[in-house]
Amino acid sequence: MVRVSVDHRPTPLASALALLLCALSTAILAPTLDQRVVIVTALLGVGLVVAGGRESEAPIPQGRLWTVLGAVLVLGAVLRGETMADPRHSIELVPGLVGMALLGLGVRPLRQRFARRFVSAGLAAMVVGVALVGIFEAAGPLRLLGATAAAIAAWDVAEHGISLGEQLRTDAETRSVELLHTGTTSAYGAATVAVALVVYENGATGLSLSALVLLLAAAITLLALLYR
Amino acid sequence: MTVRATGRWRGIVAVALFFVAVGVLTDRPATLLVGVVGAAMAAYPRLSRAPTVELELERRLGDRRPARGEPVTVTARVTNVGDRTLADCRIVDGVPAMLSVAEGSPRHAAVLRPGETTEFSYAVGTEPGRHQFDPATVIARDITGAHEVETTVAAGTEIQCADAVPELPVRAQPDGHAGRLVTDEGGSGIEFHSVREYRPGDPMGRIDSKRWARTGELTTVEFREERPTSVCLLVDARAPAYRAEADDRPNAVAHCLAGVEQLISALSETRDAVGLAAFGRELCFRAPGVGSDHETVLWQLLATHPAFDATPPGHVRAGGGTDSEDAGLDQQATLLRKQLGSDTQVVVLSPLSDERIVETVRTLAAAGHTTTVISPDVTADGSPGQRLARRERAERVRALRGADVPVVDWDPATPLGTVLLDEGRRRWSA
Repeated sequence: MVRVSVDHRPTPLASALALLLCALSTAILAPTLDQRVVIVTALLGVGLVVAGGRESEAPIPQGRLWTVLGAVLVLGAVLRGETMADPRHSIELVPGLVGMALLGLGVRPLRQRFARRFVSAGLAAMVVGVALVGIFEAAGPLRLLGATAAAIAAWDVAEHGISLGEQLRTDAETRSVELLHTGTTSAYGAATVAVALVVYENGATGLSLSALVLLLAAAITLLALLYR
Repeated sequence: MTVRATGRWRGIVAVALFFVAVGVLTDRPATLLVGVVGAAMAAYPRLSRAPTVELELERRLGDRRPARGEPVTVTARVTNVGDRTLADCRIVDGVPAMLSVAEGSPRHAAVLRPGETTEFSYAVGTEPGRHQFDPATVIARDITGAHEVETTVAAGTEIQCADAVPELPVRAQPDGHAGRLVTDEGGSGIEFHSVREYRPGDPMGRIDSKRWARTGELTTVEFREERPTSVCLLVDARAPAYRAEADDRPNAVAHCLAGVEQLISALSETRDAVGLAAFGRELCFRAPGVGSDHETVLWQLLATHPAFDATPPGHVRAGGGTDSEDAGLDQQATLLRKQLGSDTQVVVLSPLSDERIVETVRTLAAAGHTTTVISPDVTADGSPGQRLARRERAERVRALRGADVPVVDWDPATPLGTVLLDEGRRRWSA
């Protein structure tokens, strides 16, 4: 009689794609080479943590080893991000790295029950990062819009992977669905960014901020009402 | 079919509001603009509707009648017969409750354009008996994942696995017609019973001619009479009976149903009349009968009647039931007793998981029905609670045996046929 432990973890492909989108979001905010190196290091570290937690067949010490190595890499990347020469570079980088780590813990997952909460926390960290860059650097709209769209897409893909894992387990064949979902969400995000930019460049510059605020507030009120 | 909103995009509204607030408070137009992206993402799920699911399922088996223990490959083909693309179609095949998946996964997700077919295969280990596949569960989400449709798609498939011949332990019983039940009464038959004085009207063939030639005395040879029986198989499928050894093991009702299927197969080859009954969600009763039509009806009942569902009903209340459920059992038992013919034997398949079923069996026996219990043992001895349940079940078995009701204690790891043959050698041998 073989007892099979049921594996309801998020599907691997969606997890990997979500982490990549997350890294993309941070990379859009952080343009210098130094920062990009740190992002790749952190991505590698999170990847190792996630893979180390999944390796159910490998002997336990090996899985633990990968996890520890990954955690060290992530911590190193965050510390390096904190100690950048220009503090603005740190602001661009650190929230994104924290978001990536949280998302990684969500798709590993650290605890099955909290998988979605970790992923949401990761999105929150990335959103805070975008807001900080917007406040302190008065950055151009392209960077902010792109980073936000990528962060939301990362969250969506991770959540999709979690639901697939819950309903179908990791051993099921789910790649086509994951790829289509990721592609559609990313394309929609990109289209949203493009439309927003075109409107901003052509029309909104003449508009005063208060008029824009009123318009947006009206739109969002409508949205909130629709969702009620 | 259930349609539900997953609500997964709801949180994005907060992102949009957050950016608008930050943009306004810090006087940053670009940050404010991010709110537009947030709002557009929050409106994303509004762009699509819940999918309409029209699917067809076809299953192919590597071997329809495998030998015991030999894994069977199942290939499921799902075709989208609707006219809309299913962007996220998740399929969980209805593997029979008694069979475990040996290789691959009975779960699959695919993108299905109209007319497109997806195929997946897996292998199931075989257990003796006849196993019917349940309908596959399909969960289709739209492309945004905001709407989810859950439905089932059926394809009647079954696996039949040969088993050691299960011989039903019918018990001695007065009166009847020629059949396989060997009685202790003299009459026509095969096995020698006794010799008695000739009485006018005895058939000539039964006169002991040698003795007549030797002594001139007319004597008649008696044989042990053989009669058919009428058997009603009664499954205990009440909520408390859905107990399993562990979460990933088949529950006792699944074992009972597998047992019933084997017994029906075995009995249909004899001349015994077989009936079917179940206590559970509702009373199911089919009076004993013979013939292939009757057998077909029995198989249909097993496959479709709600009482013979191997998945437990919605929730099982702690403590094993409430007054209303107990009343349900009493009512069902009374109804069954009214419908049962007085000469019908009852074979109860029950895990004996509570006292109520013991009382019901004793009432049946007391009402004059020759009753036998076949009880799959699904108790474990891990925790103190499990050990207590095992001890309680042993007590119930003892109580029933004390009340002159034979109990076959069936460890589901052994095929039912083997258990019954052993039991027959021990107990029912002449």
